[in-house]
Amino acid sequence: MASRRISSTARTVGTTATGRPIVAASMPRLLRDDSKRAVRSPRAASAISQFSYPVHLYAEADVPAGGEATIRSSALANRLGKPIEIREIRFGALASAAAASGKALMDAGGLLKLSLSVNGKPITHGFVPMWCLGVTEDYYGQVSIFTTGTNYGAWAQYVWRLSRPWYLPPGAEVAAQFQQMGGGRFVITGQLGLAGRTAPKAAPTSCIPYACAWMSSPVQDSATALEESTETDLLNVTKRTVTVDRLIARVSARFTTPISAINYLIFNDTIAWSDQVGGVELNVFTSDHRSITNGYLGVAESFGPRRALELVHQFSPGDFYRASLRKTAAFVSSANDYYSQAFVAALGYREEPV
Amino acid sequence: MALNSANPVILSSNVLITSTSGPTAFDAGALTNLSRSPIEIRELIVTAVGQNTGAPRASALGLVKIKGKFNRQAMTSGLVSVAALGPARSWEGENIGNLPQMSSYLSGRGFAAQVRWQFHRPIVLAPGAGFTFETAMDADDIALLASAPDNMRVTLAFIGRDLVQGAEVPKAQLVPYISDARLNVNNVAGTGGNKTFLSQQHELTNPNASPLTVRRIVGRRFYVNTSAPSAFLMVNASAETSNYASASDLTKELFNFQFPDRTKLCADRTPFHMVFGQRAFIEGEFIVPPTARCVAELFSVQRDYTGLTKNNEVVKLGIVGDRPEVV
Repeated sequence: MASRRISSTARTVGTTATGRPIVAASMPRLLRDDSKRAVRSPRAASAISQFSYPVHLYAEADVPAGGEATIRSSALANRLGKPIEIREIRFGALASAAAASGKALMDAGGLLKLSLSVNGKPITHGFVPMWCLGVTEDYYGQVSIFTTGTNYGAWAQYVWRLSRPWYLPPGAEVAAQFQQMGGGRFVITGQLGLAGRTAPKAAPTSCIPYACAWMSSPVQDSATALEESTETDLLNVTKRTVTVDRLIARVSARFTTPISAINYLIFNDTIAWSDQVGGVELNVFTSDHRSITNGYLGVAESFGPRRALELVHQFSPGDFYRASLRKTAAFVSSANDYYSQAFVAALGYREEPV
Repeated sequence: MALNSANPVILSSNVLITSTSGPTAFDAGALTNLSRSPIEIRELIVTAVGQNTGAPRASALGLVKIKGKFNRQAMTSGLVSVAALGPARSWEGENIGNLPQMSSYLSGRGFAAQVRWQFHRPIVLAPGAGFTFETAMDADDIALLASAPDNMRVTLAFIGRDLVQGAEVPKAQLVPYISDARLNVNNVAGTGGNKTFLSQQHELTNPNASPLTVRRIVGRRFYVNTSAPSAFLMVNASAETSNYASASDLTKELFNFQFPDRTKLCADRTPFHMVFGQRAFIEGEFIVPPTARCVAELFSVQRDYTGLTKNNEVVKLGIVGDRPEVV
């Protein structure tokens, strides 16, 4: 019935593998582009290159406590023979249940750092903490639990949704290295995924992502602190102007003595644990000493524990941001010994010839 | 009453279903354009609410299926899982809480989920044109549960806007279409381990006469506990770890997807949660010619843990796109 209705207003443009006619319906202007492409593809292999296949590249590596691991770069190479556009960079951190001892409450994304490059061009300036490289929609994943005897492991996922597609020509190779921050006691599996699609045609330039970060020193709960990043931390090391479109800040609290039988904790859920991480404030300046944040702002209140602060700022080669951390004593006195640490990152992209 | 061209339009209907009620039709009149001017519909929002009286702890998203047509053109390949339609409207909306909160679902609280199917191009409905849809609980999944939800209320809301009276209604339009698949790994810690599961011949296919342009591949994953207290947990986007979803599971569900021309989405099998991310889909654009099909491939690594209560894994997938049709 469907084909009869179509044939009254359409012309045959081909046949399917089973001999069924493919018809070009008479389409309004709004739909014409899509319908033309659709009906010109009676056999998938013949004309499907006009379309943008979904593509997913993936690699992982086990990172020992306090150590580093390099992923197999061939896994993150474009071997499709056609260009692809990456739309999302996905990060995962997974602490093996078997490796855990005691009871822990943690965001595994707060324990890994990454260094990324493409064809030798930096994507990150050195190692950048994973949880500063994107956002998470997974509230509960921020705080994963595992306990002795019933170890379930811990897991976190962050996504860097690129504001411009990142063009990867055929043969391009992404190199990645994971590093576990000090204090970890577990083997953590670092996961890296590049989600995108095939590009319809070759492009002369690519919007290569860029990220740089700074980590403060850990500050004990009862202590006050004032600390600033250096000119080489939040720095544009590329030769191109970077369009910075996101600032991300996280605060961790790390316990060194048990709290409610939890003897290891690192988290970013500043809403639920505001008494622990409260009092950590940031002021971020540009190279020419202008404050982006217009004074010291509470990290949790201003940056959000899971999200990114979106902005657009042109970041010239050699420019830097200076992050200034100010910590007052904890709001609530605690019998537990913990350290707070701030993480700040600037994310964006620059356009470079392929 | 005359409507101006910017008026938003919602065509909505809801029905109450039980695990044994079978396909139940929505009110076709409520899903029909009863105004004198054409309307255009941009998305369908499906909401499922479980009216739970104790058990199971469940994902409303995973238990409901819908089937429907626009005029006489099918929009679904039979009854398809709501979980395969598109992203959830909120992450929390499709997941039950983490471990401490999970217990509250045993005490008779309801559960809800909401997903949105965004159309690539709006559907234009002439006056009198409309949608005919029906819904049912997923019998295959209900069969896995120790006890089924007593009833669930499913609501469809087609969202769009009014067009000016006399506006042209295209005879040929891109009709949204979904074909889904269900993979069930039974006994993940035992006989279901170290096996490859493939979608079936009638799944992820295009049975229509016109080519299907797929815009999204949607994928979600559920853990099912077949013994009491039964649970049907949506954990695709979840990082929560519990006795129902240990972190080690996340490296043991490896996925790949074959396009109709036999090329593949991933160079190698890839952890499911990395392919679909936290929004449960990956985007692109490819054609499924008439009668052609895609193949989903899931490799379940045998779990090395013991004592956990989860023993089934259900993966739901959809190829979501549209096809040109005379409507």
